[in-house]
Amino acid sequence: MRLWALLFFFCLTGLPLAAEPTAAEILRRLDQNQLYPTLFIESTMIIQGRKGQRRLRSQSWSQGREKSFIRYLSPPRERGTSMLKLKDQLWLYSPQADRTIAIAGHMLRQPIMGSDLSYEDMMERTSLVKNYQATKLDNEVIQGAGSWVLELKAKQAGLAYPKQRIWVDPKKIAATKVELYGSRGKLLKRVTIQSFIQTPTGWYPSDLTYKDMLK
Amino acid sequence: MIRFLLKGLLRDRHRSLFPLLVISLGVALLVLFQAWLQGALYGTLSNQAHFRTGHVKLLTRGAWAENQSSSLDLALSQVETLKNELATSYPDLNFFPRLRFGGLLDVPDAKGETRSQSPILGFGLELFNHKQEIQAFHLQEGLAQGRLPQGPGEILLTLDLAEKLQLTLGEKATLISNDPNGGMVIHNFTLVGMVRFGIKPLDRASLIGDLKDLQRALGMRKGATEIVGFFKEKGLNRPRALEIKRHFNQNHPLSELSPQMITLSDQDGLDTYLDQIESWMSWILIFFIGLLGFILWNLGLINGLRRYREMGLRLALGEEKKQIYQSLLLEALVLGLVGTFLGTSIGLLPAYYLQEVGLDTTKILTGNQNFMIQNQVHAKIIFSNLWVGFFPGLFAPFLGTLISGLGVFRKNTAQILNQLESI
Repeated sequence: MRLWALLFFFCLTGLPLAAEPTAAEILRRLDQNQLYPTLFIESTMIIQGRKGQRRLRSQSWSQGREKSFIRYLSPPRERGTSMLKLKDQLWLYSPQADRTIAIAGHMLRQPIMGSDLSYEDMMERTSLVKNYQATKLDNEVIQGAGSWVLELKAKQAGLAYPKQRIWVDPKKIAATKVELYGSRGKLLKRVTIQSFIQTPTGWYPSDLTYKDMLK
Repeated sequence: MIRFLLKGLLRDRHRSLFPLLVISLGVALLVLFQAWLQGALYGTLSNQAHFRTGHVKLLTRGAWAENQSSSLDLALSQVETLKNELATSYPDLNFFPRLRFGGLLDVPDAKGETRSQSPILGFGLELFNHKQEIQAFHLQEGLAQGRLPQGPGEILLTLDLAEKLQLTLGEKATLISNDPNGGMVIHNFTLVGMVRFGIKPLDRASLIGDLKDLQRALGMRKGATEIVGFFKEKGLNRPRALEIKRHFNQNHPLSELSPQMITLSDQDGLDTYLDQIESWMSWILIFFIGLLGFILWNLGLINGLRRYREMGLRLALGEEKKQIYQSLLLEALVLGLVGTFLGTSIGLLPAYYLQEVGLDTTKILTGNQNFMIQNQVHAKIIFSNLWVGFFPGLFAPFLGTLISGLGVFRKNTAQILNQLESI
């Protein structure tokens, strides 16, 4: 009777009876979701500023985690501006000034095209398994669905965000919300993923909001 | 009578030299101290006004509320219209729009790739056809190499920044910044001159260009982050600045991007600083005048007491008490007058030197310094330096003698005979 009651409870809460994956396993699956041998994305970035909205269209090509190239298509002022990332180096090309500029040091913390996303954020697309130690926190319900919550702590110093908190959709094994914290534990940025597209290896975010929590 | 006393003072050095030295030295120190205080405290304030705050300043309500004076998305628009309105409404001030922005300066190598980079603090000023802004920023005096910008695409850098970037005159550098909408700005400029302000926060990383040129580069043709106003005559007038602020703000809307007038006193804690300067100056001067007065009064007293025997002798010779008392007072006045003149002249010499050459404070003031304190602090000679020494220098010894000299009226024949016996 007790066993039936327990089975009935799990059916009601919607959580699988089978053992949940460990934090390390979830982290490995999240990494897998974001890693593709080659990737081409055409995207539109909508930047909400004080003086209204700006829409930036771009195309990007990437190979693994180490090589990527972005070219802006519009608006006219940004058209042709390109960024190249090779390992831990980043360059910017401006057709207006006909200059190739290395993005390093102070510049890495600057926002890209006036958005809340910094060059450093762009450089941080590294393996979660390699850089962070994950701990599983209590499950939470977000928008009516249960989520696994992971707390990530950096394994080594020097990362832009020494602590992260990730909410994972158990069905897709994909992050639906990410909070990025500074070295003093202050919440710096919040990423909310609204929708995904299915790929052969998992789910890839197709619509996300990036918010600088200090602004 | 005065001639006779002067002769006495010159010939009898015991009577005149020491008091004269003390009065002169005391007055000289007072004059030097006052000029130094004036220069150091008001010099800092003047720099703050010229480089940063103006006597009054116009910026958007949003920029003021968020303390974002160099944020281009909170910049003023239609600046020429605003400037004309200000010039008509407040003709006792001159107004100058300025652009203050942050960014990065990138220097290319022969292949056009990054050779060196540094963050900068940019200033867009009305350089072409406006000598007042060149004067306010001390650009002509501070020019260490090259010349001032004369055409579009030309900029000045501080000497420290140019050296850090290893940039020489005539070379190109690329400014990377944002436009008011957050869009990326990448624009090439040519370095035509290097300046040194002698103010640490500015010398670290300043870029100066013409306002219109930088407006074009940053995509804000009619915009500026601020309009600074300076009184045409006699410097800061706090009550009038407050009146202008109230009048302007009453007649403009309260939205985030509408203009708001603030005064120098509203910025960087300068209200407290101004009050403190005025209060310090008064108290320090009162203290020094009091201290010097006390010393010189004592000197007058001692001098008078020391001469009791002389008074006895003069009484014995038949001089009247009143006559002796008058001559003592006259002597004190002459000594005070000569000492004050001498002291004021002596004090003004080092004060003038410190006014012209200044004192290097770079080794005294260390650490992260954000106040506009000049590395070379100068004294400032003002009209009151000429008369401030007269209070203690002239009146204190006179007062001392006035009291001690009363002793002459207490002398009686027995004392006189006694003193004559001892001679």
